[in-house]
Amino acid sequence: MSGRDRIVLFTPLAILLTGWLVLPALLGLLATFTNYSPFTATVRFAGLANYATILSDPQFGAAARNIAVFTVVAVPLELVIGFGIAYLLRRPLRGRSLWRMLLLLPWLVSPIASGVMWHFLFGSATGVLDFVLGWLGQPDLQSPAGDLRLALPTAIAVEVWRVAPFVTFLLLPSLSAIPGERWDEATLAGASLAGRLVKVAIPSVAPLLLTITMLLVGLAFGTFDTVLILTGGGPGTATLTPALYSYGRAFGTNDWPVGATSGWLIAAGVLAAGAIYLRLATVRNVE
Amino acid sequence: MRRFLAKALVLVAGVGLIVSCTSGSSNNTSSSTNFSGTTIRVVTFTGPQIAEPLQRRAPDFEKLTGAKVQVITVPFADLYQKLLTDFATKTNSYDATVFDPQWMGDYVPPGYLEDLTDRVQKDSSLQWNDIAPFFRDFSATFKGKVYTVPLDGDFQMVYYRKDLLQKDGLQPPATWDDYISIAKHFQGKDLNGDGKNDYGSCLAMKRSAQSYWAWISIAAAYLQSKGTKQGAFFNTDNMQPLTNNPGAAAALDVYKQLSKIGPPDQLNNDVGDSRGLFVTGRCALSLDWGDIGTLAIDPTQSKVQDKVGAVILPGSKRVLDRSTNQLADCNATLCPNAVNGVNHAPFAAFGGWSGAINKASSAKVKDAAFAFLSYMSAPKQSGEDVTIGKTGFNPYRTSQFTNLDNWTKAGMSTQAANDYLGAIKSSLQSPNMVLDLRIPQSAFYEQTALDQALAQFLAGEISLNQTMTQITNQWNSKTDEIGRQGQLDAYKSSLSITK
Repeated sequence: MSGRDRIVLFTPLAILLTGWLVLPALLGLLATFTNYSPFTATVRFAGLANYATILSDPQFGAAARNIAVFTVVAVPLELVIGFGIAYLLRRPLRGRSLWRMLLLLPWLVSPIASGVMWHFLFGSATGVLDFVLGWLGQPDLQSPAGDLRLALPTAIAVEVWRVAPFVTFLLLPSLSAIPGERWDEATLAGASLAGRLVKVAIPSVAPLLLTITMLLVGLAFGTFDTVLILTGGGPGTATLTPALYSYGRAFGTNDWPVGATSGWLIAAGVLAAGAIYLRLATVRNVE
Repeated sequence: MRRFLAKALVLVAGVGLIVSCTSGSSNNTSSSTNFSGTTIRVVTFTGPQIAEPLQRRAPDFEKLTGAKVQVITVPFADLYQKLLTDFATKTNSYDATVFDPQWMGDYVPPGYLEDLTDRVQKDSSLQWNDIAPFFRDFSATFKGKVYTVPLDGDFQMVYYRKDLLQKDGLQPPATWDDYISIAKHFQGKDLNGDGKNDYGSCLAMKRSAQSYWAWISIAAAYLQSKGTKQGAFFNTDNMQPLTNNPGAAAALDVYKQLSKIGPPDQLNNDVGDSRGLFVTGRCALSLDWGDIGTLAIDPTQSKVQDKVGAVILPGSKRVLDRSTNQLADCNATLCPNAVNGVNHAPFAAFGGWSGAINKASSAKVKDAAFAFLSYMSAPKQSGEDVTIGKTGFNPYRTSQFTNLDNWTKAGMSTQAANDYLGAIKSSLQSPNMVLDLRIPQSAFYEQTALDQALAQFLAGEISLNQTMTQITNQWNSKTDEIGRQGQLDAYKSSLSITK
């Protein structure tokens, strides 16, 4: 492909991204240094005041802590579970297509719908789980989403339920494409299950795993819809995330500068994860 | 007959035009005027509530007047911004809105809304004086002028299971202490005969939802005792928040106690959850707008038909004495509106969906828009709409609780209608009704600062004193940021305090 071809093919995307992503994002970044909002009569330069406001706000501190825990727990779980299911499905088995389709369902359910569904499934008195308990003569259980200690693990579990099958969907073609001889060789060499995973499976999908990890970290940093519906960020600040905080400030209380600033702090986190990904990918290519 | 009707219509339209030409565009706009060729763009939130009656009645209004009504819906979270942006940028895509009247504090001072004072007085079909005084004089009014036509009467009440209280010889709660006592009495008992333990009280306490209004409903009884103009949010002398005093502490204490007498996951329940629990017979008490009243008669979802009573929000025998900043027993001076020594302060949470007109629209469109709002609010139409649960409209006119026919037609027994409407009547007639906050950026004060602190308090993340300090500091900080004097003026204007 010539350089001219590359330019021709890339130009439509560049126009779209510049007009509808890069420019608005840069305008948003500029707004974080001002008091700008669509109905501000006079726009004033505010320096780093918006950043200072957010970084000194205990609510944002709680949101940052929650999302760190969320990411550190959810992403590895999504990778391990997604990889595990893909490993089990890598060989032809009866109904594999059906399994694949069923596995995609949680991902295809919109995060909002997922939040609504789990809110009602967990809900005491109205939830399906409690209906079953009642049928068995057991009293209502408190919804874990309403328990201060269990709310964040619950939000993580719902996200893992939604995302892990998507990881399976992405990994399955690569795992299925590993030649059968390689598995046979490893088995003949006496490799255990762990050995086969480390020596055969993981090296084959390592670049893809790295890309998926980057994707999952970005998704986790922006966690919003499911939690908004499931818990609204509560109880207290137990499930508050930076994206929820940003939404609340920008749209709940029309504090656009603070909303945009917290949005850019999330973007900075995603960009940092992207930089690490690029670094690791480069190192791997060099090796 | 048709020809006669057509002639009559032309005659009425002609008279209407003559009257409007002779007395100016602001006079006597009513649904009898001919507005053929006029399109009214009305924006409201994506219902189905609120939008439904507007959409359902728009064709009838068009037949009557010739005006086409285009109902534009946007999500509730976007409505405030859409309107403000549209007004501020002079885009003027909307001629009228059915909106949250709390936003008048942001829309009236810049001059975005049409002054309707003369129109409402001169439009006989609107029957302005049939609208309850609170909604007429406070909810629709800002700085002494009328800017909205009320379409909905939002205030909170307490609902109770009449059958259960009667069986156990208990009276409906008059005070918050009574409420707690009754809730404790029924907590853990089977209230609907399904063999499962049920709950004494069901409230919405979820974060980022509509829960903070329930706390204000409780706090109002302790904080406002001398009538609507006293205000329940700020001191009208200096704009100091009324959120760090023994009255606010008492309300927080009640709120915390109630969080433990109810469903196990009450902290994650929104109003939809608490309503669902109540109408399925799982709660002895609840606190809500008028919605439970109409949901409870819906045979498709209610297990408590004819078992529900309603009372004015419970009150308190001790209220905040602002001169000493201490709780004091009610007396004639401190609680001039007390009933049997109990200060009730029914809270008009949210304020009720109301119609307003864009001042920048053309004179003819403004006339047509007013005629449409007047048509929607007129006793005949609104009298039916407030009895239908899916409209989201609750009673706000005297005729709506004196005329029981619409209620019995909707499925309420006469006794249930009397109970429900009796609670509404006693709330609407209270001179101590509490007006919801209507100052610039009210959303920050309530939805952000108050909601966050209450959620943290209920979850045990912060103590009672920390909660009061946090709310007070955040409110003061926002007030100083916007301008204390300006906010004080806006607050006093919302309460129609002219001095």
